[in-house]
Amino acid sequence: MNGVYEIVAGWARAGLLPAVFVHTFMIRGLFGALLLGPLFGGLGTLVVARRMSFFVQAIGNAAMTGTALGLLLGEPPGSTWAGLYGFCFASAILVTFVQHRGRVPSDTLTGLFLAQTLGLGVLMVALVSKRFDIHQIEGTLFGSLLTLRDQDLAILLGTALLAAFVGGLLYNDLMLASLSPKVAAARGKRPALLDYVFVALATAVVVSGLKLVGALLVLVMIVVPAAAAQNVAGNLRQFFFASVALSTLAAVGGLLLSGFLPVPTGGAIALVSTALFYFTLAWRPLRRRREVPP
Amino acid sequence: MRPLADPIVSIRGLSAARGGELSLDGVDLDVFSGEVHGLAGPNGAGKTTLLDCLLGGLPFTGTIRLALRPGEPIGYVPQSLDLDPALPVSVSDFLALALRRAPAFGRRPAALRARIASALAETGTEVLAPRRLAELSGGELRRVLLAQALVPTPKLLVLDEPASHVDEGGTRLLEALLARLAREGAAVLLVEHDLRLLTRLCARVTVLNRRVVSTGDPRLLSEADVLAESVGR
Repeated sequence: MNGVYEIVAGWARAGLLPAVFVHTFMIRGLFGALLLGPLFGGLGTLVVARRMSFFVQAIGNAAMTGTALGLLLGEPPGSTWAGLYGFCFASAILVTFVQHRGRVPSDTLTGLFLAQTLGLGVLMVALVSKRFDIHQIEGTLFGSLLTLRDQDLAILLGTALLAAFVGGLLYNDLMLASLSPKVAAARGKRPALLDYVFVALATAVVVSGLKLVGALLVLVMIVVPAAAAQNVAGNLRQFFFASVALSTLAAVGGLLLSGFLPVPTGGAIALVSTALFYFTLAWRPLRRRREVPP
Repeated sequence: MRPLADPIVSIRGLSAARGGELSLDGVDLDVFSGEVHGLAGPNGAGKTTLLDCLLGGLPFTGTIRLALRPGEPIGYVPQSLDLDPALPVSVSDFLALALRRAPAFGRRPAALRARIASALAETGTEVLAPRRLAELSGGELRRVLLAQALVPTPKLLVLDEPASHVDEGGTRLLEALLARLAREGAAVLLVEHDLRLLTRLCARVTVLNRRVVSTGDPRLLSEADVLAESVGR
């Protein structure tokens, strides 16, 4: 990867890119943002359609516990992938299982899961902080460019390829089942199985982006671009591509902001993302006014 | 008169619970090829529960046999969709989601576009193709849902109160479509409260109230009895 970083840094030195990209950590961040933007933007359309924003936040919270668990189990700080993926996958599948079996409304159950993982996370962080650097947990919560490594980019790339494959196969089924599980079932789909596939995919994507965006702000980057895209889109194609474009713009814009100002990347991405949302909100009535003949 | 063919739907001893309460108790039902079979009953009689069992969405005891090829879809018209008003899914998107494996946000081949246009034309909704689903009136949405269920041409069509919120023209179109499909050999199971519609369309009507109350030619059933069972009086 060093050769690639040198090439990009050369472009920055030649004035083809902003000067901040002479730094390797900023180039890593750029690659991360370019992978994460389309990934979160595409997933966001399904999260919004399936009304699972709250669930995404709960997965983010579970990540804190997962990181602490990984550290307790002896994983190296900054690479607690087994703890993260293990705990988040197990939690997501368990909540979906209980949703399918029980009589508790799904948002109530997700709220319960969120509170439980937060409580457990705080407990475990207290345990871990006596042994390890608490900044690792902070990195998981708020995201940090400085802790992003080539290994994290490889995981992000792998997740993006997996999501593109699964999404290519199942996007229609997942969207149709969100509109009517019964119509999907009548057409030979299995809505319950699709629920499990989707939570597993969403968990993989959320966890892969934690290093850059952070557990507390991951929701913003998945849901806000999709919500903004709803403001300007009239059909599914516009919705999907606008969500991908806005998410990528927010990721790269937030990265640049955090390159110029001493602010965490996750917070900067969240701010750019919400600014784009307000812009689309204002743009919609303008567009409608233009469409109506005088 | 019952067509002389094997049933497309054969239900025996169907029992199912919803919310811990028994909604269906030992229900038997056959729907034959070429038949429009009505299903009536008061609210809470178990009609929706029966459809959920038929579509595989609810555990049950008893047997449900469908004479369909593996993977052959059931044409299903739900009462409505679980729609987020802000979701930008158009009518043609909805049909593309139902008909195609490749993501519906991608480029659509001419054959698919023609198939969608033809399905919408069947229910007189081709002009609605670019409109968002959430912008449609109740009657327009019913017609679009019906169009969705007609592709591919179903061997079994199940409709859950398709005439509610539909205007006179829409009801006539529905009747003509169902009659044509039955003539062409489809089995149609129609859940409906409108007894006049059931009488006009159905060879047989099953009145359900957790159990089967009666099954037969709707014109021969005592209208008073059917009414009493259908509206729960």
